[in-house]
Amino acid sequence: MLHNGTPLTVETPLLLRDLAPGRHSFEVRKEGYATRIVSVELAAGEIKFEAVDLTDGTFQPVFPNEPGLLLAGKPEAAAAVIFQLPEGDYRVRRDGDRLRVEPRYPLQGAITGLNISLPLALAFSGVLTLYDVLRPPEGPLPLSATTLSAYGITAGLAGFDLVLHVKRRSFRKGFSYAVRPMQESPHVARELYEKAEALLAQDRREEALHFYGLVVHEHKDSIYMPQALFKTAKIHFLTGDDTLSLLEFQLLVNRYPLPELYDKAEKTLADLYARQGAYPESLAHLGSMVFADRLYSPEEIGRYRCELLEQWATEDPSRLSELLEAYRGLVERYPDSPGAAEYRKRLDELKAGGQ
Amino acid sequence: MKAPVLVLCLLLAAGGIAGAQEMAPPAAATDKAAYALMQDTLLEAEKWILEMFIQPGSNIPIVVLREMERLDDAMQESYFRDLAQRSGMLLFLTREQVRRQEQRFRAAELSANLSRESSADRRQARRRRTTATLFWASLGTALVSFAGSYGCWYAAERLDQRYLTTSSPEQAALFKAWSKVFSGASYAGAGIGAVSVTLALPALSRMRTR
Repeated sequence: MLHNGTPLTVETPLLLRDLAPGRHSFEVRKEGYATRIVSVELAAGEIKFEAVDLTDGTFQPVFPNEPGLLLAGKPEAAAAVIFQLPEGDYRVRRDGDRLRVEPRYPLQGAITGLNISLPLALAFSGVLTLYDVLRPPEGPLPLSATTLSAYGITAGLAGFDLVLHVKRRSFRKGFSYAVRPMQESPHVARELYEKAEALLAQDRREEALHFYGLVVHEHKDSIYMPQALFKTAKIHFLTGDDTLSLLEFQLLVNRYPLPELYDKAEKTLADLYARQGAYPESLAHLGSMVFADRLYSPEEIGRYRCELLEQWATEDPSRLSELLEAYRGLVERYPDSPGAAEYRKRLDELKAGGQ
Repeated sequence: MKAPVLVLCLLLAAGGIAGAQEMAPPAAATDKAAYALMQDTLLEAEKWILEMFIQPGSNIPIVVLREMERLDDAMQESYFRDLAQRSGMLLFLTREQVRRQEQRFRAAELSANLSRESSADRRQARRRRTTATLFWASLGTALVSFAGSYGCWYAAERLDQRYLTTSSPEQAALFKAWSKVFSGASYAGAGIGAVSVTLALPALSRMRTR
């Protein structure tokens, strides 16, 4: 991806912080897909999410009941595979026991039209020539300007026809498509994910983990993959597999910072570290939250931060100043909040040296 | 824990697990011991990989990944589905981390490639826009020229008719002079039209390439 013409070597999804307010241009590139350029207008402090679909312009047909297929003149096995074809017109007909699928050149209509208009233009030029032969025009040339113009137009049409034929040939030569095993198709990922969700709803965690794992391992490019990874991490969090859960959430925030998952993952990482008594890490993860997810409010996270600092200060009294600062921040930032009185009370207690 | 120590631990663990599975009948006590061994190994590996994940700038050596793969092979052959699943996930996470660090190493190369491809695309888009402008301009010129050529030819013919029918010698001279002017303009229009069509054709062929 390029941001305002500067290459960013990390893959999407991507979280960009500290962007200056104003217009930003993003060029998203992936081999085998058309490049997309999107512009984003940012106000100061604004959080924006931009989804770019690179598969736009293609479609994915399957031919499960066909033994074989002749696609753009190339034989292909049709069973258990999914095709990715560029959008456009196709001519489909049966040729013996095989299905023949031919892409249709987008300007085929113009070629067909020229097949009619070109002979007509030629005939018209012929009639004008005959007229000039019978009534020779005055001037330096044996043909009138009209006849010459008619031949010019006919030549133009013939040239246009020729160019279209050449272009049609290069279109057929340049036609490309992809074939993938059915197992890797998006609908398989969706089925596995839905199966895992159903199992999780029945509290069959081990089996659910198996299906989430299949999505994670076998459908890395699927849109279900980050969700499956999140659910796996959450299950590991609930079953007390803290280290594995930490690793999974860490991967999620580093590699898949999606707006619906990022804050949840950061919050859970904070919970996990707090559970292990690693307060600095826990607070760092709370500080990394961007509040793209409406589930969390800055005030609520600020309060949680105070709770963590209180726990930390109980173990290490030198953290008391940080705790005071955190409560002071809450009081100043949310003076009209329903919890403001409580924050002020706690701040006063802390100032007075109470615990 | 340093990488070589971890590699050694993983090596021994993988060997131990494989050996235990080869030799022992599936008796409950042996199963319990094998499970405990595998679980401890996995936990150690998880902790170490986590360190690598959270320490900025630290990298997982490729040899560790290979040993993880061996450990995972041993786990996958075991009866313990839960451990096999965890090991599979740990291997996946390690691979992702290795892939990310490889990407960091190749950042300069990737960045250069991206810039090159992007500027090549921009140049191509600029050329396409220029070609499109040339095509439409020359096509328009051709159409206007051919239309003008026909118009001038018609006017020249009309003036010729009036030249033949007029009785006044002054008017006849005037009609003849204007007929010549229109006739010349008619040829000029046809010529410009032909040149414009010649320009429009290659422009069209380049314009249609995506």
